[in-house]
Amino acid sequence: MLLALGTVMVDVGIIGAGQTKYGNHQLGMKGMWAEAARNAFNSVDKDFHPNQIDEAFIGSVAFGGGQLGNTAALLTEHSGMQGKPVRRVENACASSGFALRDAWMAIKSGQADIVVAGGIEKMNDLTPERKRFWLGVSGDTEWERLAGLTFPGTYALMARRYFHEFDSTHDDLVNISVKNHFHGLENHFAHIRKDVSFDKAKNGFMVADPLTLYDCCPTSDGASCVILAADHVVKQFTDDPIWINSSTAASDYLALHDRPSITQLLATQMAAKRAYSMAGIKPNDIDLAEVHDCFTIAELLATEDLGFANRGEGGLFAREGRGRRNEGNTCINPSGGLKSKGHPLGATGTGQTVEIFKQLRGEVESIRQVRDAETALSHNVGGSGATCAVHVYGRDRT
Amino acid sequence: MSDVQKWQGYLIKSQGDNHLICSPWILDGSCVFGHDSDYTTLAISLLRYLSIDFETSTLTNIDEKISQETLLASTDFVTGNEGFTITCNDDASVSIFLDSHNSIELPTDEMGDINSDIYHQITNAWQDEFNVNNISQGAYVSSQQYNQNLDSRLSLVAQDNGQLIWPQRQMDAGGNDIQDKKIRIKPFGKVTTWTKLSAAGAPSEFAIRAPILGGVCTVMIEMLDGPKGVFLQVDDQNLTPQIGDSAEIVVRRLYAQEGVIRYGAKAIITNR
Repeated sequence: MLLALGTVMVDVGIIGAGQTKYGNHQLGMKGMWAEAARNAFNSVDKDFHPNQIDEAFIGSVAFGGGQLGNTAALLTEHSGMQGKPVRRVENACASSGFALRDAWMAIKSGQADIVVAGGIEKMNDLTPERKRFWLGVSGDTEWERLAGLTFPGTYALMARRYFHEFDSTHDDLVNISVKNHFHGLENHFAHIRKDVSFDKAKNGFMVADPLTLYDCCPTSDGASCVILAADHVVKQFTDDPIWINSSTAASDYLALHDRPSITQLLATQMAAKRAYSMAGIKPNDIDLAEVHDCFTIAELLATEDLGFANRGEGGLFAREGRGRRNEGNTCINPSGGLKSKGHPLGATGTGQTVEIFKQLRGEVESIRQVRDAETALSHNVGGSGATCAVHVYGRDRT
Repeated sequence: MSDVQKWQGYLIKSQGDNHLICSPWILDGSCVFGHDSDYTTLAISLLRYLSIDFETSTLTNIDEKISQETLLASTDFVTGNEGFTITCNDDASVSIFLDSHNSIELPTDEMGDINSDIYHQITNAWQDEFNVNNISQGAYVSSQQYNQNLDSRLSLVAQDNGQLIWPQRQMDAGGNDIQDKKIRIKPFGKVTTWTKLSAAGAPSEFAIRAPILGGVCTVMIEMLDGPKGVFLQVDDQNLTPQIGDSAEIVVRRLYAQEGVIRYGAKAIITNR
């Protein structure tokens, strides 16, 4: 069924993409969304007006509970989209990855020609006490949370088990942290722009043993917005679209203890397998990948689950620096990833797409440009892996 | 003393039909509770101990300081007209007897000192947590939701559907209804992984006590019967887990909210 949908003759291109800087924002939700939407609208090469949009899908966890209901309606009225069918999409940290997939499917199904996918989260306007209440709302609350787990703890359980099963140590995670901070250093949209040494990352404050502060992404404010168009209207807006050559997703048991293995994410594996098949490519065809490194161990597992490294060799992949920009076959997280660029939960998925749109069009800061980038992948995970959306992009249609 | 049994983190002494269970901790000459123990958790452990040898499984009187609902959900005991009386003593101990109550001396030789500062901080923290105004503002498990899974949570009751399913589910992985046959899985297993969260990383339910305890320690246990689960390590076991450690699942306080103490399964490392 999914593959059949992917073979419908309508192709889907990205004609514009924009975001806010991630970090601690003075702007509220309406202001952040308007800024991301404005940047996306302005990135369209030819004339574009938001009244041309047919549908919108906005990913958000609604962190803090300030606007849990009708979030999308509130936000889009501040970006010239009044009257359009809009809705909030929620799948924890994968909310806007799934919003992107919903937008893609709306065009594929023939129900819409121009669709917005976006995401937003406002996290840092809460007091530390209130923020703590909202962290860890996306695990199996009844069992995992009552066993003391928030996501640092959940991923720490995975990391320790991984080290036990395979030839890997915490140093491999340190290498990932150092790489992502290096990649994010010159990204003007990144939350944490600082060079981090191996020793500093290795000896960070212990958050959830064995994960230190430098293994954990920050909590960020931010918004991102992507404009998709059906192939028969793309030319009205740009001669240089980026094509979404596959959009897939999968789910898994929510609680870690219900999964047969906690050193791999089956949802990622299933989504990736379908994504490569739909796009007609293999993992080594990917020039750059924005992967969901909410914690460094998540990137390590993703490199295996997405097929960039063999099972059990994700640590070696990191150790040898194969994910560094312009050093290996596939650049992993050229934006700096969630670790450096930041992680405004609902905005992260389409934020990855913004980076890929610019990378494939050669529009990022020159020092950050991945050379000869033609094909890219985004990987957006909800929680500890219960949901996952994978997209493959290309300068050409496949 | 040979007649003292170490059991689920507590001490038990028996004389005929009289049994005493107590905390292993002393402060200023008095027996005091560990950081996540109370009369209810002591009583549950004692009844589980008696379940090994006794056919009688009826309670006639239950001290009002004990949560009867939690006690009965955690054990095979039922209430009836004839059977045991279970009473709470002035210190951190619980007695149970059939006909007449004979006082049993505390096994003080087996007990150890508890850190005074931490004890007092934790005691005060529980009072703050127990306050009816302590209300969650984020993730939240209602009393109804908590109680619906009480047998899974406290007694490790699983569904026997060809393979054991724990915690219990509504349907199996194939979308089929699960057979109604239930079984209590044995409370023993091995540590497959663990972590210790700093106080800053712990869920808000533990926000008041975690800084005092230096964080919260969570283990994943693969039970000897097959299912896996995640559990907090008991608060008064100052031992860093290791993968492969043997563990026993016991009942302790998890947290308090809106004036209600939530009890649940926790793990004790038993091989060291």
